[in-house]
Amino acid sequence: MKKQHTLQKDSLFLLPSLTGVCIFVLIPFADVARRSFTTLGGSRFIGLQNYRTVWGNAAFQLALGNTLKFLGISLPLLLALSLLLANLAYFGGMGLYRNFCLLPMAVPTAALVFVWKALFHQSGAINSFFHISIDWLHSSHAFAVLTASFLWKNMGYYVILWATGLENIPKSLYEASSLDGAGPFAQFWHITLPGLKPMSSAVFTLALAGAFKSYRESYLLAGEYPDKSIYMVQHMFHNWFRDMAMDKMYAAAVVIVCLFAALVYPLRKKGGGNLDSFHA
Amino acid sequence: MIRSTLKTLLLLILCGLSLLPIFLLWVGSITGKHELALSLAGILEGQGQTCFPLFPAFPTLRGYLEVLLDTPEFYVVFWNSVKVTFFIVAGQLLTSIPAAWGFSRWHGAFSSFLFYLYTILMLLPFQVTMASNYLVVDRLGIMDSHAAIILPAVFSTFPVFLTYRYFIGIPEEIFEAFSLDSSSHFRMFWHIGVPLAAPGAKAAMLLCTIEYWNLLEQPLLFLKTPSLWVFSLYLPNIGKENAPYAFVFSFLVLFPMCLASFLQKETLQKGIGAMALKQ
Repeated sequence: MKKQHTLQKDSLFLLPSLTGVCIFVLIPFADVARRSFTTLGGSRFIGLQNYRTVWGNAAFQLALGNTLKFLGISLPLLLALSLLLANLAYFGGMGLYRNFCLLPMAVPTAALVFVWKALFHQSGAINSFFHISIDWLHSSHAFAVLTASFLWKNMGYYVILWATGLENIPKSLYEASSLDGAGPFAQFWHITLPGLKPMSSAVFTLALAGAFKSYRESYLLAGEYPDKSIYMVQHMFHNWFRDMAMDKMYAAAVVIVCLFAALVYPLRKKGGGNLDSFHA
Repeated sequence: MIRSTLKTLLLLILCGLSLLPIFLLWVGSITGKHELALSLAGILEGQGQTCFPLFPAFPTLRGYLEVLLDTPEFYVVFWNSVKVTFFIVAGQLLTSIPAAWGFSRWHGAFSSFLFYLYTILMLLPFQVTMASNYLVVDRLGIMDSHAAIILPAVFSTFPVFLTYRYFIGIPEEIFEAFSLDSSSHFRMFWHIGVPLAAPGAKAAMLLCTIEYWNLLEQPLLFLKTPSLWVFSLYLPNIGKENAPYAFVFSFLVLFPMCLASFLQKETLQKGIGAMALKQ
């Protein structure tokens, strides 16, 4: 039992971080959750009234629909393309790409948007080159520009993630299967995909969290009131904040935290206090 | 033969696409005022054409001279960004390495629950915690100061999560060998934990530096005084008449990050890989 005791003491190492997290996140968020069930002044308990208001709100419905559409299009594209590129980089002799694929991630968005603006402006480089006149940034095309920008910035990160997974699949499996006459597609289907499965939920969750960061691009390209097609949950929060519609913000924040909590549940650390988890 | 040509072509396209915006900003930064006005006429004047020259006819460093010598605002916002990023990353380093060590040594239902909370917090979009963040910054009376940006960011849980990933790979035998001749928890942390965390902490520091250098939402919300602005707030406000500065400025803020991530690519790749690998 002495061992158990020593390990308990190690929890003290958490204290500095946990204190800060409590002060800056947990306690204020508990306050937000409490306020989400009251009137704006925080005086009277009104149950789920704020939640009903949010659910019926037109801005919320538009933003939620667009966000789901953005996630539904950009995440499968990102994950599938990066998996393909990781395969090419790992098996196809395109290792050189790994040297450059992380550079887009390092470019600050405020600098990047100058290039996107020069390319996608109504009289920008793309329109001038093709002699067309499409308003890329302030029409429904903005959705495509935002998706392209998201893919450009994040592709390298997910290529690296998948490539790490590929490196952990024993090479002997591929060698054995080629002796049995399996082609690259059969190998991908029967060795690579099952081999990557254990990491897929973590990759998906990271991509989902990453997708919400594309607000920076969207804000700097199209401002606070972008075209309706890219008005997302993040815009809604910012606009409600500016309008001091805090009651709606509180309720919406609680809903989204619950969604993320459900999503992250499979990724949690295994509990139980046994030391086997060290070796697992 | 065709296969390898196709492969090379694809490789060139991929690397080219990754580098293109960086290259275009660099070209813009060494293009003279008049030449830039001509090639960007479509955007600057609202009429005519825009063509990005792949190299300026008369490359010049005048833009750099003017930004570095005649634009005091550049130094103000640049050093604000450096200061904010530095204190955030340093604070994260001090709190997250012990916390990750704690999580890797301390097991049990409560530890698991806290770790679950930390994972949720790592993934939440800023907009969701914006209201609670505002409440606490307001309560502490640090609105419109760098502390409003730095303090909440120090307790971001991402570096804890990443460093934890490196700690759980340590074989238990190392701890057993150590606890034979010493029982001090702090010494064990200092002599085993810190050295073993070094690669993970380095990766976390790099990823966080890139992330917080690029910070936009929090400064937008909390910094009203222009002399406190970070470059992400200043850059979009450079007027069209100063377009050449915008390119020079952009290149100066992206170059350090791109250089660091290129030189440290192995560290970064290992760190990113550790995020999703089952240990």
